[in-house]
Amino acid sequence: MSDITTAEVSVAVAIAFVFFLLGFTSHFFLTKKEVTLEKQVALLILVSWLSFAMISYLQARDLSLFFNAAGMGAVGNLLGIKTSELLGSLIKRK
Amino acid sequence: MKTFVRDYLLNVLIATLVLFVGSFGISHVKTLYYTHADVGNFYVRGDLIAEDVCVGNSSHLVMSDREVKGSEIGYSATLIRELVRVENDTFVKVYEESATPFIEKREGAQARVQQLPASLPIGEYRWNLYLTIDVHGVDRPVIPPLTSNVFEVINCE
Repeated sequence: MSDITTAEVSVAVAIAFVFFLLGFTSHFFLTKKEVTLEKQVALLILVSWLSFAMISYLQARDLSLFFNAAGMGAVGNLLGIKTSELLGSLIKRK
Repeated sequence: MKTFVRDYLLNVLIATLVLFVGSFGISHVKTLYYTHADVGNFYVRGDLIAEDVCVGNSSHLVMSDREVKGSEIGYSATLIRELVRVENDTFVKVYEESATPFIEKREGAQARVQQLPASLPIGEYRWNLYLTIDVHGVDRPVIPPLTSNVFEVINCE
């Protein structure tokens, strides 16, 4: 098998693995009613971030800092952190 | 949705700031660490073998072992192979090739046919092999070449 084909297969397997992990773990955290549009968008960002992270790992490259930040932002949303409220309360305290 | 977008943008902003400060701090610490790294911790096995070539020959057999052994974990080194022409006891660089042997690791001595940059004119040439730690703190010119082999381009007729 040539190098290019091997790389393509590795990438496909990596992306499939990410989807599998997310699908599997979502059963523990989310019921069907809880999957709102916001969470779907956040999940989409998270999946693309993890997929690209896998690809970059396989190709021994670094992901852009901003792309990492975008993915982490989605994680924050999925965890249910209400950042604006949190920051608001912190500012009010001062 | 509005709250989601606002929260998401704030999350991204915070993550960017944290990542930026973190990466800046890590790179600063790395620079400090590598500045104190010692080239003497590395050694390269094998030699460069250079044989005389005829005018017009475009290839040259160069024997070298590119594997670098580091005695301390955490350093990375770059090998620089340089071809210079000797002109009145001064060296004029003709060609340079660099490799990071930790990534491009090979086993055993490597003999390969080196493509010469162009048909070289008659004269004395030298292959130099430098080993340098891949950081800004180490100034390459102060490091003498590990091996330095002379060959001549001669008229074969």
